[in-house]
Amino acid sequence: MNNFSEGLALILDPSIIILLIVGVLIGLLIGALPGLTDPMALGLAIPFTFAMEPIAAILLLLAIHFGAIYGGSITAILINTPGTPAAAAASIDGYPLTLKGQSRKALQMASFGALVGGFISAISLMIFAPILAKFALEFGPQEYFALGIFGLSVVAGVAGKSLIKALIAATLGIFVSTIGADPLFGAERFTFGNYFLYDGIDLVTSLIGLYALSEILNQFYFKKKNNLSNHDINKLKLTGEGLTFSEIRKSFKSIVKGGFIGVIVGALPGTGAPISAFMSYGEAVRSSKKPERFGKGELEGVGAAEAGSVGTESSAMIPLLTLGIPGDVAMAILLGSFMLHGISFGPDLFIKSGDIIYAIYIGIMILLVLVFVFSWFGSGIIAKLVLIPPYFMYPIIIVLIVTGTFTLMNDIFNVWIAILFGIIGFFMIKMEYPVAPLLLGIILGPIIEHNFLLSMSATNGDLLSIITRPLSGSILLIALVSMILTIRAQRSIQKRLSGNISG
Amino acid sequence: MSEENLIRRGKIQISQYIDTIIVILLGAAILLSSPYLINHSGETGNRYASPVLFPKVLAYTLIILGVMHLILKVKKNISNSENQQMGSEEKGEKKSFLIGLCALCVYVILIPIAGFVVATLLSSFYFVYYFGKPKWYQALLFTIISTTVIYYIFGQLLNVPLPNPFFL
Repeated sequence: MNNFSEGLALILDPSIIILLIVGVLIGLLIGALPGLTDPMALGLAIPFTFAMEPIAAILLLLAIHFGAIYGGSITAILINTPGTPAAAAASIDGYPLTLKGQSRKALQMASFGALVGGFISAISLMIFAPILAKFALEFGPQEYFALGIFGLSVVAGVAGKSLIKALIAATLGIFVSTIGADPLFGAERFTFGNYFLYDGIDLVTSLIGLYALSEILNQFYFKKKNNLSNHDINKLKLTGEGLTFSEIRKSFKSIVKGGFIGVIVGALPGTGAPISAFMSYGEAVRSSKKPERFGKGELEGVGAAEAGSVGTESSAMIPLLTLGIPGDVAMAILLGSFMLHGISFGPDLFIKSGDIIYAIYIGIMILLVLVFVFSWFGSGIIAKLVLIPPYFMYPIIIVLIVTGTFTLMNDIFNVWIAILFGIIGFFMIKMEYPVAPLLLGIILGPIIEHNFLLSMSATNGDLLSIITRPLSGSILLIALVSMILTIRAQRSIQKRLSGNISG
Repeated sequence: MSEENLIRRGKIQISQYIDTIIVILLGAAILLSSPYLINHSGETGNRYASPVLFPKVLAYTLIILGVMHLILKVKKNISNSENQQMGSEEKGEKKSFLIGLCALCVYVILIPIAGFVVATLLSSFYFVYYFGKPKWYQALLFTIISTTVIYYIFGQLLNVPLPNPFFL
C-alpha cells in the first residue's frame, strides 16, 4: 500500500500528466504516418529525456509507444495505408467500412478495442509481474545467460523472410557490444586506440542511426515514396454516425478475447502486436456465426484486431520488468532508456523501487484512457496532420538526429557513429537483412557475455551446466519452442498479408 | 544468350553473394585481429574466461552462418537457374542518395566550424529544397522557426551546450 501511494504521488505531478498528453499525441501522429516508425520516434525522444526524472522519462516513452501502436490504425482505416504493421489487421474490415461511409464508427470501434485490450493487458502485468519477479530471485549466471538467449529468440519474430540473415544480424550486434572495455577485466577491445570508444558504442546512438537515419537515407534513395500529401484530403475526413451501444455489445466478446490473446502473445519474446492483431482477428472470424461478413466491413473485426494489437503492450513489459529481457524492439529501447537513467530491471526493481513499479502501472492506466479519449474524439484532426509535406518533416528529423546524437555524448564523434550505423542500417535493409536483431544483439550482448563468462568461471568451463541446470535448461527449451512457434506464426501472417495485397 | 546478357547475369550472380562474402570475411577479420586489437594489459583472465573468448566465439559463429547462407543461396540459384529473373530489384536514385549523404556530412562538418545555429540554418534550408519545392518565403520561415525552436529546446530547456563557431 505504501508503494502504491508513493507511486500515485509520483504520477499526480502536473508536469507528468502534461508529458503523458504530449507523448500520446506525438505517438498517435508518428503511428499514423507511414515511413515514420515507433522505434524511430522513441530513439529521437530519448535525448529529450536526459534532463527528466527516470519515471517521467519512462512514462513519456511509454506514452509515445502506446500512441503509436494505436495511431497506425487511423490511416489504415481511412486510406488503407497502415502506419504500423499491426494496423494491417484493422484495415481488413476498417477500410471497407470507410468505403461504405462509416469511417467514424470504424475508428471509434478501434479506440474502444484498444482501451479494453490495453486494460486487460495492464491488469495481467500487475498480477503476473510480481510473481515472476519472486521466481527470478533464484536465478544465477547460468539462468541469466539462458534468459539472454531467450531474449535473442525475438530474432525469430523479426526475421522476416530469412532466419539466417536475422541470426547474422544478431551476431553482428553482439560483436558491436564487445567494442570497448570488457565487462570482467576492463581490457580494451577493438577501440583502435580511440579513447572515445573505451565505453563502447552508445546504444541510443546506434538505435537512432539504425532506425531514424537509415529511414532518412532511404528517403534520399527512394524519393517521392510514402508521401501521404499525394492523397486526396477528402479521404481523410470522417464520415457517418458514431458507434452505438448495441454495436459495442455485439463485438465485446471478441474484443475481450483479443485482449487475452494479446496478453499471451505479448509475454512471449519475438511475437508482438502484428501477430497478436491477426490472431485476434482470426479468432473473431472463426467464432462468428456469420464469418462471411468479415472482410467486407465488420466492426467486430476492427475491434478484435485493435484489442489484440494493444493487448500485447503491457504484457510485453512482464519479461522486461522482471527479467530485463525485451520482448520486441520497443521494449529493447525502453530497456536502454531505463539503463540510461540508472534503473536496472529484475527482482531488485520490485524490492527496492516499488514506487516506480506502481507509478508505471498507474501511468499505463492513465495512458490507455488518454489514447482512448484522443483517438475517439481526435482521429479526424490527427488524420489531417499526416498531410505534413515531407520537405518540412524530414529536415526536422535530420536536425533532431544530429542534435540528439550530439547531446548523448556532447561530442561530434558520436554523430559520425550514428551516420555509420545509418549507412549500415540502410544497406542491411537494401540487402533484406532485418535491423531489429542487430539492435537486440547490442542490448543483450553484454548480458549474455557477462553471465557466460561468470558461468564458465564458476563451473571451471563446464558449458553443459547451462543445459543441465533445471531452471536454465527449461528457459533454453522455452526459447527454442518460442522460436519455432513464432516462425510458424510469422509465416502464416506473411501469407495472409500477401493475400490481402493481391486482393 | 547475347554477350551483354551474359555479363549482366554474371554481375547479378556476384552481387547476390556479396553479402555472404562480406560476413565470412568479417568473421575471419575478427578472428585474426582479436589477439592484436584486444589489449590485455597484463590481466589475461583464466582459461575459462578471458576478454578474447567471446569475440572469437562470435567470429566463428559469423563464419559458420556466412558459409551456411552461401550454401543455401548457391543451392537455391542452381535449382532456379532455368527460370532466373534478371534485374527485378527496385531501382533507386543513387545520385540523389550520394548528394543527400554528402549534404548530411557537410552539415556535421560545419557544426564545429560555423556553430550549431548557422550550420543548422544553412542545412535545413538546403534539405527543404532537397525534398520538395516550396515557395522561398515558406522555406525561409520554416528554417528560421525550426532552428530557433530546436536551439531553445536543447540549448535552453535541456541545458545542452551546443557548439559555437570555432572563433568564439
